[in-house]
Amino acid sequence: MANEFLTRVSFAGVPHMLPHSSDTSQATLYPITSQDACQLYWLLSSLDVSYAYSVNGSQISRNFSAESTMIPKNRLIVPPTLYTSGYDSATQTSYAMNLYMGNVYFDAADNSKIGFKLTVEETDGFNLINLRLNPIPGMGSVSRTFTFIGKTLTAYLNYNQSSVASAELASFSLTPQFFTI
Amino acid sequence: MWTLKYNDSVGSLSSFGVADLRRIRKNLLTDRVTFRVDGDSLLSLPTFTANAPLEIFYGDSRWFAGIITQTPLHCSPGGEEYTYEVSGGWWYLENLIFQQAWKEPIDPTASSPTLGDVYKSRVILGQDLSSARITIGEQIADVVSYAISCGANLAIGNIDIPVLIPFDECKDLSCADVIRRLLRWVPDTVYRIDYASAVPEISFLRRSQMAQVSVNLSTSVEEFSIQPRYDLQIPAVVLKFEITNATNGKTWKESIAQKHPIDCTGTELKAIVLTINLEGSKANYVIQNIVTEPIDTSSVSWWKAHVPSMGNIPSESISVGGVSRTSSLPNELISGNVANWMDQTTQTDVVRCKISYADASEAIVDREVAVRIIATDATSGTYKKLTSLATAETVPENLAEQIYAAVNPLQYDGYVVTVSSEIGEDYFGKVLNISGAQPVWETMGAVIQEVSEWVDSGKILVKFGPAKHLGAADLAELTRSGRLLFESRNYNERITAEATGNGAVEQGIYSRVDNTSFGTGKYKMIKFVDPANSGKSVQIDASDMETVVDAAVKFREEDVCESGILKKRYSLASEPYTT
Repeated sequence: MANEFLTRVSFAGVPHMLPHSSDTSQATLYPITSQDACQLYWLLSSLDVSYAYSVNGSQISRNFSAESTMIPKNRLIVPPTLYTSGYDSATQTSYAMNLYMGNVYFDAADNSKIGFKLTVEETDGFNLINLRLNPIPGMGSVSRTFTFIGKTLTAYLNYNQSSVASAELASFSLTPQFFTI
Repeated sequence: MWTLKYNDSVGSLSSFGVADLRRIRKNLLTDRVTFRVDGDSLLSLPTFTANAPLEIFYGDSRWFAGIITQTPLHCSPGGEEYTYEVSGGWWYLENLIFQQAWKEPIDPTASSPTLGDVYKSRVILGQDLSSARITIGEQIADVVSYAISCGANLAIGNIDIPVLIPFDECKDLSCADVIRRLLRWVPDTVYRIDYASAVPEISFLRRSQMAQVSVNLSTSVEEFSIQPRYDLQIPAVVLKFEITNATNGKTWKESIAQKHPIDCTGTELKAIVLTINLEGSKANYVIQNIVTEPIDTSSVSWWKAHVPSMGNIPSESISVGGVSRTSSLPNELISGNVANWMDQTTQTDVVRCKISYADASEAIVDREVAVRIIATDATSGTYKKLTSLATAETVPENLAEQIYAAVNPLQYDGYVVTVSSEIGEDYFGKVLNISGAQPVWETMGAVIQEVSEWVDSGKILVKFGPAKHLGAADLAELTRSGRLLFESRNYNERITAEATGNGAVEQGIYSRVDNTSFGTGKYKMIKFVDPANSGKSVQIDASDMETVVDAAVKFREEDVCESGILKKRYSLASEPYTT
């Protein structure tokens, strides 16, 4: 729940003071509209991540969230960051998710295309698997598409082909929660 | 040798069976001839039919000409007979309503209608169609001419009565009545038709113009009577003309007396005193008061007087420049109307200038102000113009003298009957002297008013004296000519076809205009103040933008986030600048 607010913003829907970069190679949540960027920056309160995959017959299911309790008014000064990480000792894997909105990316030729850097990653200590939102060259991968704020994204389960006989990404979802006004 | 002409037949009276032929002529009445026809009976149609022309000749000279007007049948134990009455030329005048030409617009809807002649039985006697006064003789000639134009078998003879009369307006009178009405002013006039002329010729002769004829009482006189009319002699004629003039509806009386003899007073016994109304002048003026003032465009007070919104601006803070005008006339019309009839030049003038000023609430630089005024070269004053004028009827000259001359001489009233073998002397239209008795009668010049002639017996009855039918028999009748006379109210209308006093008044076409406009003002500062709290104000002052010389603050579009939704709005801002 948040109070109504009104503030001047840049064309990307974010505070003018934020670094605006036209190098979109770093933007993994790209392209989204300036309207979506505005909503994410000012109202996103949490992101719920849920996925399940199997490697060599072992089933792994993961659910976690990243939150930001920073109210919209404060985001005029400090950009919100939704970050969380964890370690699963049973499988000896670590996982993390990071949506950093301190940098905003845009297409220099069409500045209605906006992007943020979104990271979702899970990896074991032996580098046998690596779940990301992008494929890793030299590794095998399976993928699954999912929808986030209306945009279709793809999650990749990268694996070492010499060590992993079978790999499957059974599900992947990323669900935003927003402040209500 | 008497002959008769009927239709195309000419014969002696006896050949037509005519008997008891008699001619009766009375002044200002129709000459009549009566006779009967032997052999007419109850069973036969009249020998002469009504409305047919008939002429009687004595020798080679025509004795009478007229139309058959009556054919009564008489039956008695002694026999049956038609008697016939033939009427002379005056009959036409008795049976024709006199009409006069009046001017009227041919097309009343035209902007400048052309006037044409319209004949009306409303007549104004004593006036011709050019509005000039005409004499009684000229008016009678006009009446007779009108009758001739309508078919009367007459020609104009001697009509010389140079007497002017007041305009006499009347209506629906016969030509004969008109002549009788005119001759009331000169009752010593007798008319006579000369039937010997190719066309019967009608003349009007005053006593002094008539030929004299004498009758000797010692020969052929069968009966005689005479009476000097001292009672009709008058010592003086005083005419009192009353004229009522009017100007713009205000009337005043004007009286003019005309008398004869010149030293008479009107208080003499038996004096004729007539009051005669004359139509006075009627004048209408249009009057316009106007007020003008000089146009002083360099004066701040002049501009403040014309631009009400400048009223509260301190005069000392106002500067005026860049004045231009569309007219160069010196004065401004402040009040009243300027019409073309005032012969003043008037123009619409648009006066422009640029004013700069500053007061507590705003500061203006070079705001264009325009004022539309009426410029004129007229100066303040009262302008006046005559819009319609109906001139007064003038007083007829010498009318009193003419009446005196007609009425004052001693008149003899009486008759004489002569008998001879043939009708000889033609007495009618002459004055009579009697010889063989009192010497005074030998030159009395009595006006013969009636002559009756019996052809068969050679008997003639001559009646002489004042014209009783004209009212000259007594003083009361004489004054009646004035009592029945009213001023002519339409004598101007007859000529101009315009109702008297209805002059069109031209309205002014220029009057003061109050019409100001502001051009695109350059506000330097505007201050808004909350009337409930003067401490709350918004002040926009361009001079506050001190850093940049050329900076324009205006609405510009920008992005905003409203509760998480990206929108746009307008903001008042300048272009970015560097310091």
